Amino acid sequence: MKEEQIMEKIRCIYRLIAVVTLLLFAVSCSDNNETPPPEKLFIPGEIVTVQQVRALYADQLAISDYTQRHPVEIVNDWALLGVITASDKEDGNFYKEAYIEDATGGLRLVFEATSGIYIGDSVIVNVKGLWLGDYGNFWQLGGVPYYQQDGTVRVGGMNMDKQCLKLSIGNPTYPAAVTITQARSSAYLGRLVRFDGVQFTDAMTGRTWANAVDQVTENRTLEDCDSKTIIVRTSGYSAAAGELLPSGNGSITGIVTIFNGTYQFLVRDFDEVDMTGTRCGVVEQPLGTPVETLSEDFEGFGDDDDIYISGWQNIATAGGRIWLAQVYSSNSYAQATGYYSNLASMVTWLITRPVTISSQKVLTFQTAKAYWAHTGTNFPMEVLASTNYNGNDIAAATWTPLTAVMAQQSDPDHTFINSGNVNLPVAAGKSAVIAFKYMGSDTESTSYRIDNIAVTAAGK
Amino acid sequence: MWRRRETFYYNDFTDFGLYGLSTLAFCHLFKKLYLSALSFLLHMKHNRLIIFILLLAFSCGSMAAQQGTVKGTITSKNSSTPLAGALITDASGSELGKSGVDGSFTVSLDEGKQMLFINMTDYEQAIVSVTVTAGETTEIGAVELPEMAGFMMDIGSVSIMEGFSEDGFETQSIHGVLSASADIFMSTAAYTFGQVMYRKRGYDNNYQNVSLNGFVVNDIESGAPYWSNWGGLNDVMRSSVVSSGPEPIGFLFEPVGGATRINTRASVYRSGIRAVYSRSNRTYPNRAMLTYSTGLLNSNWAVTGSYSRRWGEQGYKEGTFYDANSFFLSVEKKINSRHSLNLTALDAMYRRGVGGGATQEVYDLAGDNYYNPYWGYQDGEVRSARVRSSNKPLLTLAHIWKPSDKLDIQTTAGYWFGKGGYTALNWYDVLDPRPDYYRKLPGYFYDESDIDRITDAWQSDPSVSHIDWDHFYYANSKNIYTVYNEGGVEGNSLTGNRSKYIIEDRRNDLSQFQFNSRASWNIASGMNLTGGLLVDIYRGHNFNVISDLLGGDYWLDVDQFAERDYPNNPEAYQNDLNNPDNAVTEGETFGNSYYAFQRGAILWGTGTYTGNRYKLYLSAHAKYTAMWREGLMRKGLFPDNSFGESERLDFPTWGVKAGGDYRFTGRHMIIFNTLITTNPPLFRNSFLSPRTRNTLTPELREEMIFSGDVSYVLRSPVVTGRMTAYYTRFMNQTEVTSFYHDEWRTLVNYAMTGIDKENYGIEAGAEIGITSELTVNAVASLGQYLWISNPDITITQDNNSQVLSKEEVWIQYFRQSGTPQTALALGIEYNSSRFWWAGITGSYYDNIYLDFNPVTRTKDDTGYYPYWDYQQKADPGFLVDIFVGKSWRIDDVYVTLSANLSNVLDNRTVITGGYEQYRYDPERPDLFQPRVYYANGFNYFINLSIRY
Repeated sequence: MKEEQIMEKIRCIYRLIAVVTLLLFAVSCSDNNETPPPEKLFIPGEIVTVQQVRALYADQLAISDYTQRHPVEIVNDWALLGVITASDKEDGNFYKEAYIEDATGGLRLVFEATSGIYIGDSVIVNVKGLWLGDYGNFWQLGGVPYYQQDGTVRVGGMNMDKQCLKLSIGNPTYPAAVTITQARSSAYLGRLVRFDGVQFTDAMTGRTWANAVDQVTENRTLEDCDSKTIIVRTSGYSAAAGELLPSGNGSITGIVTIFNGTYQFLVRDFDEVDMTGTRCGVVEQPLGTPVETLSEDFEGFGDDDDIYISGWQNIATAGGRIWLAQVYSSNSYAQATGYYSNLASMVTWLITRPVTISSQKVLTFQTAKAYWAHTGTNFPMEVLASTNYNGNDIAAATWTPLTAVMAQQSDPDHTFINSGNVNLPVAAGKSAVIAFKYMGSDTESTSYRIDNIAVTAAGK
Repeated sequence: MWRRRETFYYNDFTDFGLYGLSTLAFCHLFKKLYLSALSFLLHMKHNRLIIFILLLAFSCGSMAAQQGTVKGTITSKNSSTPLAGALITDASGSELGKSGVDGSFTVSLDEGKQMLFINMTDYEQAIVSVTVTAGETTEIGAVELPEMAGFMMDIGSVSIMEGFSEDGFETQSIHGVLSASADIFMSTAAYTFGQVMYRKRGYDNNYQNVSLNGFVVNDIESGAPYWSNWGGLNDVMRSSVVSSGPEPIGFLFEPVGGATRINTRASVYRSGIRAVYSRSNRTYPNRAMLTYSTGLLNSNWAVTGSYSRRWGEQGYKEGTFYDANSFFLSVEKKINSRHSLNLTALDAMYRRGVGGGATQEVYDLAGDNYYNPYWGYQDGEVRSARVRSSNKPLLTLAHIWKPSDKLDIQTTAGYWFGKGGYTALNWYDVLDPRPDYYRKLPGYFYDESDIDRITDAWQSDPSVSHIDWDHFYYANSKNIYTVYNEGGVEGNSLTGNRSKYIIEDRRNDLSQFQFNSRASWNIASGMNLTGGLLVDIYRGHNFNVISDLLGGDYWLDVDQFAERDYPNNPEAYQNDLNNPDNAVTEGETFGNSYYAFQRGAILWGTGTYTGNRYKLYLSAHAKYTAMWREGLMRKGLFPDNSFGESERLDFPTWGVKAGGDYRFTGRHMIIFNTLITTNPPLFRNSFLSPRTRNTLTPELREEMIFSGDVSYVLRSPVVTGRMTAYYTRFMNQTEVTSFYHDEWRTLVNYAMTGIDKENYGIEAGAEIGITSELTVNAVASLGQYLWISNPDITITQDNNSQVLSKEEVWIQYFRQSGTPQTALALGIEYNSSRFWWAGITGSYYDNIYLDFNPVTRTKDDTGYYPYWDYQQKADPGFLVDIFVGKSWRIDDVYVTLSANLSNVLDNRTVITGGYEQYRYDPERPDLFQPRVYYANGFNYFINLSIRY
């Protein structure tokens, strides 16, 4: 009897285990669905040109009051085929945008996020369902438009992955080599161009590409040697925003756009800025070999002539203005002035041919001033000597101030004053240059003059 | 929806509402008395303090009373069989004895009218009133224990709500009260208040201690015990001792939030088999548990095993699948009457989709306060992006030794290891793919037409309102990209589809060894000394792993934020300079990786003296903690400060507490506890940005806690109840959070130091027996949980080591969040003698505050608080719960069917908590509304259990 009960009990247990096991494995599918979905293919539309797409917006662009315009939805099953010429993925000068270019022109694409496409990507962009609008009369292709806080309408960003297919990556891009004058025409709008032989204007000297501190976009003026200019617009977030503009002349590559009638140029990659050459109009001034004595009275120079003397140098390190000759009462002399220069800073050096200083040499010269405008303790000119100036790099040389009598604010205008004898340093087998360094600006614009510079052996 | 407080003054308690004036006065008086006593103690010299405490402990030492004996037998009401092992205690909870194999017991008691409390796992408590005569034996006959109603039997039926804080740490509602406690307050807190994220006395989770067979299972880095670590093993976790506060339960220095000791010795389980099937719509739809226990066999072996599976496609919210398997094995060998050895191994393995909170704008848009932003359709089927998983086996080996009747020594060595983590979306060069990203919501737009368009899309297109998995695969499958010098190898170029969207697994793996030995010595009648040593060696490994490339070929491991800030500095934006430009694939580590080391040693002791009418205890501990970080990656932004070991932090901490009880009669008793302790800062708060670098949090200090509570306990045959007033002050706390700062466009670390908090209030619970079958119970938790200092904040950003600012956060007298500060419940329960039961409970919650955003309460550069605002508060809520059950006995088989129906009125508007987003736009503050969580609407838990 007891055994029977035990057997019954065991059977019960087995039944229970069977039921539970069944429960567990029959109904227990409960995993997260992580099976990849079937692959979806990108189906391009009919390939059309940038010009054809732009044409869809021509009617809107013709409306002069931009607040009356409205973005146009593209309903044609079209696609663009082109190469990416600029992108927010390089150097940060663009934000959520890229430029595509085909044989007919370039177009700005705007995205809902960082574009994720790179310079040199060859892409197909399905434009059906996208919208065309403009920003300051420059086309942009994006997503569904929306109203901004001020009530104006703007195209939204497109989803790159939904609209674009990268066919290949790392393709070369070929900027059109044009002049500034050529670039300032509708033919090059949105296109990648390269200017050669250009420089930032003198007024740009000492400025950075943009305001990196407050991350503010800035405009800078670029010119060629014919003084044709275009604005270079750079984002405060870009990699180069805090760097000084190049001071030389050379080539620069970027995209041409327009904002309300003003042509602009946007650098796409700061590695492509190569502006280290000699600026327009600047004459080569090789430093001469050392001489025993010097004597220069500037006679022979006409009014407003640039002062170029063989073996001497006349160099602007800030502001682009150099020493000019002036003639008064048949006397010629050198003058530097910030007057009407519009310069934030003007620094210009008149550097003599080297003189040997194995024995004691004495410097004499005359100075005059006019229209004193320097304030406080600021003085327009310094006289400096250097024994290690190599003729190229002023900043690298060691400059020793020389003490001389010079025309002061209290002296009468236009009157030349003798410097007195200024002893140069003595160093066996060495030579020295003497620099007359003018420092001023548009506001501190005192005119300062020098004449009758002479270096002679002491006691003669 | 939101109620904002118009004014908030220090002494403004008008907000208390239900407290009533007398309660308030009491609260204040108590606080003052306590603080003055404390300052008195602190100002005494050391030796005097010790003498004072000794006097306190032993002054009224040996007033032994006349005693008598009580005899009886304990049987099951349902089966009339004798019950062995039932615990008999007096009114103070002191153990008097246990019933023998035949259910009989004999205990000694003081003369006079006394109450006996008989407790046994799975059975309702019985209370017997008896008059004891000195020197005589009183026979009370058979005491019948009814089987406990189903709802009280099962921890798993308690709602464990889970949320996420802004920085991804797990949060949970239950606070160490998961036992079928006889205390009506404790059980109501667990079973009823649990559904609204109630935290007892407002304490954070790390102020309680949970040990499993002597192994402390609190997570080292966050300090909190996570119940998910033994989820599903409910049937083997029921033998536990729980304290609601710092009163001693014989293991370690019980912290201010109480302690739970779970005992898993194989010999404690009743022999037999137990099978449970549960059906629910809460966390998981299905649960099956099977437990088998041999009991102590003639061979002196005992074995208990348990397996459970929890599974289903969806819990209460959409996109929350559940897939869990839990294993448990305990083997005990009784070597002889003095020695036993026990080996326990357990592992709760799970993978489950987590539900997330959203802003009210999103809930309204979705038309659902339970909208979950973490899931979407993949090829038409639901997939969750936030999958929490764990596989952390725990092994403990315990030696139980009774050298004499008076001495009891238990030694445990344990090892806990394994992996855990949660997955999250990561993305590159695309718009934030989360459906509730603010730029994708109607509120981001200005014009009606745009708002309508976005609203329509949200309401008609699931690829807009949920995660668009199919698009992720599409985008990843065609994003051709070349990585040059991959892995830092010159000329090594890799061309393939670079994933733009991935699922990453944010892992927290652990390896922890613990050793402890405790001895309990009954020195003399009524005097007990318990103490021990614990040594803890921990290494956590925090890192990211690619979980799914979603159709792409690789993910390039660079820091996107740094890449944007330093586009031309490829060094700066490397996540690991030791392995630059690393193209990672599934299963590979990326992003960040570091070890968290912590070592600790604790020496503790508790002396207890039990007198005639009173009990006193004095407890102390000394703790030493060392912690350091070891970076496994050299971060480009911090090349000199990210790789290798950090400075080592050492914290000696200590604690002293004292308390006891006094019995006026067997029915009236007063209990009190006082505590002073210091704690080391938590690992996660000790480093400014542990994910990136070794920099320590500035001004890191030990926190200090003062606490005291006093309770009145009534145990009459008709009414049993307790009322407690408590006051706790936390000082010098540190909190570190990291988040994306909108204005500065960078990840920012906020380190708050010098945080002081105050938690005080009253908790009360009473059970009134109307008839032998009908009981009414009432519970109230009235608390005031405050921030009482303006903490100092050090703000640093993740893309350089510069300190951005050092300011004060103006939050004094803000309320602590994450729990209702007022919770009330009233219930009726019917227990039929014909083995069925039913009950209904109504509960009310108020003073639910949202976590505040420190950014808007911090001084700006000009010394003002331009965005300062009052703290946000949720509306009060009311919920009704019903439970019913019946049990049958068929021969030797017990079948119990019970249903626990929560929120039967389907109230879908009760906010349980939430937080203000750290993102803040001063121009448009509504863009970043707070994220909130709602208590579940109608939900059920049906349980069928079969036991042989």
